Amino acid sequence: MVKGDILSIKNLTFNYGAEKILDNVSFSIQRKDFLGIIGPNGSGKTTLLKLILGLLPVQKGSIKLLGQDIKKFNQWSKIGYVQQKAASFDPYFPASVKEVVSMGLIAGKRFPKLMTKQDDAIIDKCLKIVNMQKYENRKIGELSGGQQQRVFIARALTANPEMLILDEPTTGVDQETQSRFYKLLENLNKEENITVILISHDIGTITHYVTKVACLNQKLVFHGTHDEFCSSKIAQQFLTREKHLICHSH
Amino acid sequence: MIIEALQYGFMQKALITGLVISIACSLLGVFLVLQRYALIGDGLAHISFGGIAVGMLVNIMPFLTAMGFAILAAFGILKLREKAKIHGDTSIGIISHASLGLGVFIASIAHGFNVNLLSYLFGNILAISTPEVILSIVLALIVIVVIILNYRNLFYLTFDEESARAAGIKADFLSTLLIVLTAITVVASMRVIGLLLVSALIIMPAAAALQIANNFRNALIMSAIFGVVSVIAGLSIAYIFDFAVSGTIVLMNFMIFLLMFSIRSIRKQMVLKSVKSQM
Ligand SMILES: Nc1ncnc2c1ncn2[C@@H]1O[C@H](COP(=O)(O)OP(=O)(O)O)[C@@H](O)[C@H]1O
Ligand SMILES: [Mg+2]
Repeated sequence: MVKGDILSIKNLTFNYGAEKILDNVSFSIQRKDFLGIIGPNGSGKTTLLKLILGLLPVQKGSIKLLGQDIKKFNQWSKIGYVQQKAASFDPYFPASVKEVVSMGLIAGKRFPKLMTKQDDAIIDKCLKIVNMQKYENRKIGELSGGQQQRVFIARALTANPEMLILDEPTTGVDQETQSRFYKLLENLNKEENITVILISHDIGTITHYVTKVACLNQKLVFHGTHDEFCSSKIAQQFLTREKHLICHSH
Repeated sequence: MIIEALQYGFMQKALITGLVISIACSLLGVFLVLQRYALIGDGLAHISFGGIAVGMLVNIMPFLTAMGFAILAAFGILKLREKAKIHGDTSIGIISHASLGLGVFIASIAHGFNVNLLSYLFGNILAISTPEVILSIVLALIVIVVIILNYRNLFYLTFDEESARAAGIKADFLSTLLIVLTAITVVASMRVIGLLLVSALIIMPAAAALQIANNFRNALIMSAIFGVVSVIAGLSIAYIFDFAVSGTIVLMNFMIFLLMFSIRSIRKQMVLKSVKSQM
């Protein structure tokens, strides 16, 4: 286990061509934090995630993961990623739930990457955590959106990650499934000690579960604990706009 | 009659080569079809045509020049797609037609070898020479082994490239590998099935398997089975009725596809009915 910040971002600036997307963003989070990143559409949330995941090159500033500069970082299996819903996968793709979850084990294996009995046990365990064990032979495209997201979480869990990063995982999922989903994340955070970064534009719901909040709008507008956020001016602005903002002490 | 036919050396050669090649094609096809890259086989076949014409012109074994052309072009297509911000299908179109144009151009200035060139277009599994048989089989076997060894990585990449990259999977290397394997397979297949029809062996068994497969492993296995069945059936029917072999194999593939498509439609109807009866 690395001591100190699990993720630290310093003076991060990112442009797509001439357009500035992120402007001098700095913040850090510690192990076991549950960070909610909120901000309107197009505010650069996904871009920030892609930088953290090494999917986009750092142009200016620096990112450290588990204490290591991202340019040298290679322990990607410790970072689980659940991408924005239906971002790229084809609903007719012939993959069973079990096969999708097994993908999470591929990167950490040596060539020729055979699956073992032990792997089967890991897959079963992760499916159980997200309560999807009944569906292991179902085709992924035949599940509901919320079920698919749980499968993708199970996939991220197989590699035993220290940090889980989720990009708007509950878009288009009904309210009840959403709360169950956030409860699951809360459990993973509290019981399995997994650091969670959750992106959402649904500020109302997530403030109920997170311990830290970052507000992004090209610049970092706010970063602090859940309680600090609730007593901040920004939260008051949201409060008047969105009646369901829940601010109570943990 | 078919057993009797198998006693002929040329039939044995044809059958074995056809089987190995159809397995390589149908395994690759599953990945290519799902990556919306189905027509790359066609593009690489056009490219090989240019290579063959050049080989005949300068008197090098056309197999080798075609292979060189196809592999170079595979890299060219990837580079164009990446650097020039051209879509995959457009970059295939540009490179393949440049090479096809070259082939036609060379054929028109050097009149002598048009007939020979045609045999590459349509293939002739029964007239293929022993060195070519061995070369084809070895190449196709290499392709099959490489696919099987990389199947899990290729599966992840095909399912969702972004997550695969985020997990540290070498996506660029695997994409290059897949297209180079396709180039090798196309060239290994050209004498058997012909450049005009090789793409059918890549696309059709895979498309048929995707109609009914519920998981990825089954999709690969079914695709290979469909490829094999089409070769055995196609070869037998062509032998009995004296039809053109490559055309018959492709028609078999098409029939298998139609059959799987119907099975899927019937299944869907049954599901709908059972849902309705429950309401
Ligand atoms: N590949 C891209 N090329 C150019 N601009 C992009 C690209 N991806 C995103 N953008 C732009 O970057 C901005 C931030 O996008 P994004 O990070 O996806 O926002 P969010 O996730 O907060 O909705 C948007 O204005 C978007 O148009
Ligand atoms: Mg986004």
